[in-house]
Amino acid sequence: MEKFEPRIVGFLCRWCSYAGADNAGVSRMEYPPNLRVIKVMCSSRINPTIILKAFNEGADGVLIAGCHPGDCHYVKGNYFTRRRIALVKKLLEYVGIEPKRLRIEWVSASEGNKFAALVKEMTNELRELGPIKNG
Amino acid sequence: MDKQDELRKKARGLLESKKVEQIIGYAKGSNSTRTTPKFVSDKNKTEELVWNSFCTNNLTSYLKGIKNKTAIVVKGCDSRALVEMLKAKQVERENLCIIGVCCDGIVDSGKLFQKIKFDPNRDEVKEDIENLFIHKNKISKKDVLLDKCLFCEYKIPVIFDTLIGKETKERIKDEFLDVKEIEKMSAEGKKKFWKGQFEKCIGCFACRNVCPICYCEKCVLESRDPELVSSDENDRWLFHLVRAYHTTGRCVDCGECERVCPVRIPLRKLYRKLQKDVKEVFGYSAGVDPEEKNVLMDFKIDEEP
Repeated sequence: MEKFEPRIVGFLCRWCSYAGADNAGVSRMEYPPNLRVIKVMCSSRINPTIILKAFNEGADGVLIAGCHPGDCHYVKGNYFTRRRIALVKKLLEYVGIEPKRLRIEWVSASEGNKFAALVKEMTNELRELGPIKNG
Repeated sequence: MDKQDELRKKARGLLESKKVEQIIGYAKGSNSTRTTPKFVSDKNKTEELVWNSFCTNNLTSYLKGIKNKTAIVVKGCDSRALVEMLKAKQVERENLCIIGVCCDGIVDSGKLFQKIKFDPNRDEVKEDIENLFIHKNKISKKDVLLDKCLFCEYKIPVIFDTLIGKETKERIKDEFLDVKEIEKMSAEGKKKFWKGQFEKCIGCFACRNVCPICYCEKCVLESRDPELVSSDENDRWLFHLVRAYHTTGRCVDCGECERVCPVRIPLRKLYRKLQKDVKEVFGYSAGVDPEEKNVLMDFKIDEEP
């Protein structure tokens, strides 16, 4: 049987995390190609509807990365994200989707190594969990 | 004087003094276990208003878009929905006269039919504070209450202009037992349970239409450009989860969605999960304080939710 490769949708904030991913690339760090990046202006831009839709369309995991709390380009966007995602996670768990499949992380523009390590870790976790068998 | 007489008298007074142009209340329904929403604007017709254990509807949904001075009859749970509507500026407080009724719980006619055989089209149902009387049988209301009324913390409306009935201090703490039951299931079990429930959905939008806190002019569930949630059967899961998430910090557990669902999806079990989380994690309950900010529109700098 072919090895299972998870598909991860990554929503990266334009100011910190996308630049962080860029930094990882420029520094020639290696990370698994399982992540599909979508650039958004702010992590608070990500409507939970979109996260749920990603899972419904067959994504095995969703990564949301934004500026560290306190560093948001729009001053307080990521504080809202933090509350929102915490509740989405609990809701997903309630309908039988492992909370590990949704991840929220803070990655700054200079943390290329953190970003690479994060994607590696998440991909490995999802490989273990296996494909999402959705309702 | 019982609550119904008190209600009629107050309603007549309000219309006579021209404080309000219309009253939204309940009237006798098609049989003895039903009531129907009623708009009264003629002071001579206030005798048509009723109050009994079958006043199930949450009338606040009818306030959407109403511009003239209106009085509305609310139970405890309905009043919380009204608070949420006021918070979202969907109704103007100056236009409202809130007639709060102290509620002893609403009877579930389904449970009643299981308990005793009778023909609601012919047989009359009489009641006092604690019991229902059909023929010569006495049935304790406590045994046939709606599920949502079994754990009611708001028997007295949280917001009102005039109060009908006696204030009681009784509060039954809601322990979210139904939610905890599902939380105990395995991931596979949960998936299977909800899949079975959502498969029944026929996409009729009744739950959305009846919901007092669903007032968006353009609903995300109906949007076709961009099409986030399609009308396809594969998207039923998404439909319900998106709707559930939209109720976060606003759903007051009035139970109307579950009541109107033609295929009996236990929607309250889904929405109550978010109520439980919001309460446990952020200590927030919807529809209690009109001045309080919604839980998702607020944050604390050093919290770790």
